[in-house]
Amino acid sequence: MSTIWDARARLYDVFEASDLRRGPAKAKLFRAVTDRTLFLAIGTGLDIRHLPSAGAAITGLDISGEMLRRCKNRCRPYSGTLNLVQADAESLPFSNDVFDTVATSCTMCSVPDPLRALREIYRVLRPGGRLLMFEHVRSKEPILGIALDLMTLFTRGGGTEMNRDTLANVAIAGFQVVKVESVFLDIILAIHAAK
Amino acid sequence: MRCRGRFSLVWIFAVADLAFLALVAAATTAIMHFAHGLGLSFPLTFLLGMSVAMGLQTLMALAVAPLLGSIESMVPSMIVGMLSPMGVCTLDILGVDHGRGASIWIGMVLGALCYFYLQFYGHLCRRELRRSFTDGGV
Repeated sequence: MSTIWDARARLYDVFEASDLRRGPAKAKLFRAVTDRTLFLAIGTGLDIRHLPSAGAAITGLDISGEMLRRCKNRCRPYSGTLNLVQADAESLPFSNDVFDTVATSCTMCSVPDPLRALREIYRVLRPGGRLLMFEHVRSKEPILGIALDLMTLFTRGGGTEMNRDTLANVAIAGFQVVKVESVFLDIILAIHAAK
Repeated sequence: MRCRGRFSLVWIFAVADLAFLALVAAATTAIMHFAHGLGLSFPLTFLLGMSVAMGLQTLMALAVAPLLGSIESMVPSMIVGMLSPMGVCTLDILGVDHGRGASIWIGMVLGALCYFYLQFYGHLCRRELRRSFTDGGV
């Protein structure tokens, strides 16, 4: 899995560089990041600019060493506390109930077993802690849903599934979904959940 | 000022999305029109036209993805890239004689219609989500 993401790190910024479009929604979502925060699958650090610089001690985690190497450059101008850890989202190297917030950005499309990753998040999040997710999911609109199923046939090899029901998985993992906002149709969602 | 800037950005993306979908639809209908002109059997024409159209729309979506967003461009582009060429095939089945120029115009109209449908669906999604999560959780 890490090999795929090491290879994708080279072009990751090009195809995820639509910050002009998604940036305001990410900034609004990640404004709620506070105290001890785990940013899951931080990638090349594109979202660091949306994280609050004060009041949070952030641990950025990614499975790919190449992603983290690129992320280090984006960490430098960040004035808050931000440490990077290389680890698998499905097996988090942290004790139970240690984080106040967990944030994800297009992560649940990329982990092989999203439910396992969500259960790990549940484990490391303290009771009452917040889960903030910027994720893309399968549309409920039939034609859009079929288009996403077809796209998954091509993107799966590269480690991305376009048609997951992340909102249902969040609930199955035990979280209470507090608020969901549409970023793009019912495909890209800003999800607020609590343990 | 910040609010006005955000408002302008929304309009810029709205125009860019509309122009992109109209362009994809025009290009893919033109391809299908060209395929019909080759004089092959209908299934072969359909297969060839759809394959080239899907390849082209993928390339076009990849080209604009850094600006318009990967999912925001690829998903609508795929829908338009599938439906617009089928419009040409439908006209062919119905025996409607149309030139290349008319095909491109048909494509652009279909692209615009798809854009407005997605805008409408987006509005429904936002309304539904607001309605579902006003009571503090589900």
